[in-house]
Amino acid sequence: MTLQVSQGSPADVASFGRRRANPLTLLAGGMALVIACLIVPPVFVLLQNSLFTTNPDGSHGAITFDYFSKLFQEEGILRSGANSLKFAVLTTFFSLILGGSLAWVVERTDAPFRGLAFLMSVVSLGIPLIIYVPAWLTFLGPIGPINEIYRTLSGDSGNLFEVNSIAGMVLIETLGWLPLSFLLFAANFRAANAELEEAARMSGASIGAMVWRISIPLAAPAVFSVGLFILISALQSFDVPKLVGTSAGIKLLTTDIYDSIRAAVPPKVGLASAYSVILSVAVSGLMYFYSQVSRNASRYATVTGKGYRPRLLPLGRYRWLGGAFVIGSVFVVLAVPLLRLLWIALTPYSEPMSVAALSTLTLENFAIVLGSKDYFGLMLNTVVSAAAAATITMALMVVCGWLVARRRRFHTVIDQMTAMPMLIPGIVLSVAMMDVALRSPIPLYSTLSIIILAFVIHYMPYGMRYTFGGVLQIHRELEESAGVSGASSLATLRRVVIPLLWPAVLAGWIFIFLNASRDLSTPIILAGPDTKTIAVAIFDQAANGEFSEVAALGLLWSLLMSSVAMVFYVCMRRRGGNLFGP
Amino acid sequence: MQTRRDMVAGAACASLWLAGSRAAQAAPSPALISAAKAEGKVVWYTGMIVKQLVRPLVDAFGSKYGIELRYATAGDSETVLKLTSQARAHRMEADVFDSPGTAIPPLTKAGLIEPFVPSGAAKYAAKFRPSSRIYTAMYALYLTTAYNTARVKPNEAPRTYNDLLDPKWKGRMVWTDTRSISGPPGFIGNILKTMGQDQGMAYLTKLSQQKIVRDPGNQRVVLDKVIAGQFAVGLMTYNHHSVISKARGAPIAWVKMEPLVENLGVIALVKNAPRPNAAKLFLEYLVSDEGQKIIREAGYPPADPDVPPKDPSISPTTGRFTTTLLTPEISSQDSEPLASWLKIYDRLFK
Repeated sequence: MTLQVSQGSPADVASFGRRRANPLTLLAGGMALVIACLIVPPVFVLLQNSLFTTNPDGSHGAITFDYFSKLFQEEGILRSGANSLKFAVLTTFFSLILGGSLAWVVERTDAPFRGLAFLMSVVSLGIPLIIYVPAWLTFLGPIGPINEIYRTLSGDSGNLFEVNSIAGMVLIETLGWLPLSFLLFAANFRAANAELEEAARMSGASIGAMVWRISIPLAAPAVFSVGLFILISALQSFDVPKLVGTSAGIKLLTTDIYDSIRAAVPPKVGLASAYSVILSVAVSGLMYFYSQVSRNASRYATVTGKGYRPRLLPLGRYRWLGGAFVIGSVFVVLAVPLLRLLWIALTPYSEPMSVAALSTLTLENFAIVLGSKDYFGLMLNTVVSAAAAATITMALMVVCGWLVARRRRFHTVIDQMTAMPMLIPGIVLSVAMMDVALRSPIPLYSTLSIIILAFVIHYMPYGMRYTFGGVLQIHRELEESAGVSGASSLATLRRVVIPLLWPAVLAGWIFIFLNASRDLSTPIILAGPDTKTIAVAIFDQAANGEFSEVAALGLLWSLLMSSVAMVFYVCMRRRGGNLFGP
Repeated sequence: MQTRRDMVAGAACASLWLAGSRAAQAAPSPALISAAKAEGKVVWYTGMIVKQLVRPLVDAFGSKYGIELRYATAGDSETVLKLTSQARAHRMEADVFDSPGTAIPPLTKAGLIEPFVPSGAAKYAAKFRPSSRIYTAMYALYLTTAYNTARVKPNEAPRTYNDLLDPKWKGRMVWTDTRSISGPPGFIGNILKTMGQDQGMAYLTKLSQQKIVRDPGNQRVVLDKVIAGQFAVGLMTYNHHSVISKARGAPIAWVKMEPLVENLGVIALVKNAPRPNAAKLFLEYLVSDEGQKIIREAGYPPADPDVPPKDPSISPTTGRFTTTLLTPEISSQDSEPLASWLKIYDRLFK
C-alpha cells in the first residue's frame, strides 16, 4: 500500500506509447473507476457531515468548523486519545508475541498437536464478538470463577483481577487478534527460506541462538507489517472498549464516536464525522509507515518456481513444551469462552457457576432457538450478503492486488483508495452509506445491496492484504517467462497469476465471509425491515438481557459458521493450498 | 408528582367514567379497514423486545386483518437518524415508530410526526393521550430499586432513598449508563422534584460517594447482573422485569421506593407515512382491548384501564404506590429539565 507519487514502470510507459487502447490500461483504468465509485461517495458524505450544520429535519445548513473546534474544546479528548493509544499498542505487542511464537512453533518445529492451532483459528473466526466478549467478561468478572476461587482460597473479599480496566480490555482484545496474528505469521514462516536456520543449526548454534540471531531478524518485516495492521485495526475497534471499559469510565476515541451516534438523541453525526476525520488523519500517518514496510517486504518474497519445503526443527526434549503452548492457546482462545457460553446457554437465568446450579440446567434455550422459524430468514440474509460481499471484494482485489504489487498503471491511486476504508470507523462508514443509499438514483435504501456494498468497502483493505501478499510471493520469473513466451499482460494475469493466487483468494474469501457474517456495525444502521441479519438479532437480544437465549443462538450460529470454515480448510488442505495464506 | 391519594381518587373517577363508556370503544371503521387492506402492509420501527412483544403483535395483527406488519429494530437514536435522513431524501420508509419517549422531542421539532390519536384510546387516562395528539401511550412502566434476595436479606434491603446512603452499599449498586429519563438522569429528576432543589442536591452529592457502577447495558441487563450476584442492588430497574424473572426462579425482588419513576411506552404516526391507513389501523389495534391483552400477556402494565396487568402489584392503582411521571415531552437531551439533570449526572456520577 504505497502512498508515493505514481511513476509507471518503463514497460508500462512504453506500451502506453505503442498502443492507445492497451487492454491493460483499460483494465487498470476500469478498476480505478470502480473503486472510486465505491469509495468517493461515502468519503464525500463523511466530509460533508463534518463540515456542514445539520438542521433538526435532517437537511444540511451552512458550512461550519464548529464540530472540529468543539472536539478540541471538549476536555477528555486527549485522555481518550492516550487511552486509545495505550490500548492499541499493548494489544499489538501481546498479539505479536503470542501469535508469532505460536506460528513459529507450529510452522517450524516438530511440536505435537500443531494442527490444533489452525483449527482454533478457523473456529474462532466464526464466533461473533458480541457473545465472545461477554463470555470473557463474565468469566473474569467479580463473580466469575477466577475471582470466586481466589476469594475462597485467600479469604479476601476483593477481586484478584479487575476485568473492567485497560488490562482487561487488552487481554480480551489480544485473544480476539491472536488467531489472525498467528495465521499471518504462519503464512510468513511457511514461505520464508529455512535454509539459513538449518545452516545455523548445522554450524552448531543452539536453538536459542538460532532464534535470536536468525529467526527474529528474518521475521522483522513480517512483525512490522502484521504489527501495524493490528495496531491500526485495534485503534479502530470499539466492541471491546465499549463492553469492557464503560463501567470503569474508561473512554477511547472510538467509544466517543460510538456514543455520539448511538447514545445521543438526536445522534451527533456531525461531531462523530469530525471525530472520524481527525482519527483518519492520525491513522493515515501510520498507514504511510505501513506502506513503506509492506513495500520493502517484497524483498523477502521467496516463493519461486523452485520447490521449497523447510525441514521441521526437532525440539528434542522440549517437544512437550511446544505442545503445551499449542494446547494452552487453544484452551484460552476457544475452550474457556465456549464452555462459559455453554454454561450460560444451559441456565434458565444468569447465575454463577456452582455445583448447586447444576440441577437447574435446561436445554430450553436451545429448543427455543431451534424451534423458532424467525431465524431462518435472518440466516438467509446474513449468508447471502456475506457471500456476495466476499465474492465481489475478492474478484476486485485479485486484479487490484496484482496491479499494485507489480506496480502497473494507476497502482498508486488504486492502492490509496483501497486502503482508505481502514481509516473510517465501521459505524461512521455505515451512517455515510445510509446517506449514499438515500441519495442514489437507483433504489438502494433498506436493500441487501447497500449492506453488501458497505461490506465490500469495509473489507476491501483486508482482501487487498491477501491478494497483494499472494502476488508478492509469486516470483516475477513466472510472469516473465509467460511474457517471453508471447503472452500478453492480461493473458499472464488470467492464466498464470490468478491460478497461482487461487489459495490466497479463497483464504481472503472465507476471511471476509466469516467477518461480514458476524459484523454488527454495518447492518445495525443499514438493515431495513426486510434485511435484518443474525448479528442484529443477537445484538437486540443481548441488549434486552436475554443472554441465555443469546448464548444458545450464538453457539449454534458459531457452530454453523465454523463448520463452513472447516469444510474450506479441509478442501484446501487436500488441494495443497494453505487456508489463510498468503 | 402524584400522591397516593390523587392516584386513588383518579382511579375512582376513571372507573366511574368508564362504566358509562366501556361499551364505547369504537371498532375501526370499515372504510379504514378496507383502505388499510389496500395498502397491504405497515412498516414499524421498534425498540420493543422482539420475542416478548413484537412477534406476538405481528402474528395477531396479521391474522386479524391480513395486513403484513414489517418491523425493523431501532433504538431511539437510530429511529431519529433514519427518519430525518429519509425525510431529507424524500424517501419515507417507516409508517409508525415506538419509543420510551426520547425520540419524541427531536422528531416533533423536525416536524416528522403526524398528530393522531386512535379512537380506541378515548377511554385512556389523559396522560396517555396528550392534547397535542403527538403520541399515544401503549403502556406505562415503573422504575425502581431491586435487590438480590440470595445476597441481601429482606429486612436488610433498602426501603427508602435515604437507605441507599448506607455505607454497606458502597460499590455494590449498579445502574445503566443510559442518558435518558429512564436512566440515572430520571433518577436525579425524581429526587429533585421530590426533595426540592437544595435538599435534593445535598442527597445526590452524598449518593455520589457510594460509587454506583455504570453499566453499558440497558435496565434489563443491569437487573440480570443483580440476579447473577455481581451487584447487590440495582437502581432504576423496571419492576415488571423483576416480576418476570422472579417467576422463573431468579433471586430478585423489587422495592416500593416511593415515588417510583413512571415512563411511558409510546407509539406515533410518521408524517407523510407511505401507508397511513394501514398505520392508523395498527395503532387502533394496539390500543384496543385485544392489542392491550398481548401487552398484558408479555408482563407489561397496559395503558388500557380495562386491561389490568397480569401481576396487580406492578401498577400504581392496583399495587398502591406513588410515582413521578416523566413524560416524553421533557425527554430531550438538549433542553430543560433533562439537560440540567444530565449535567448533574456527568458532574457527580462519572
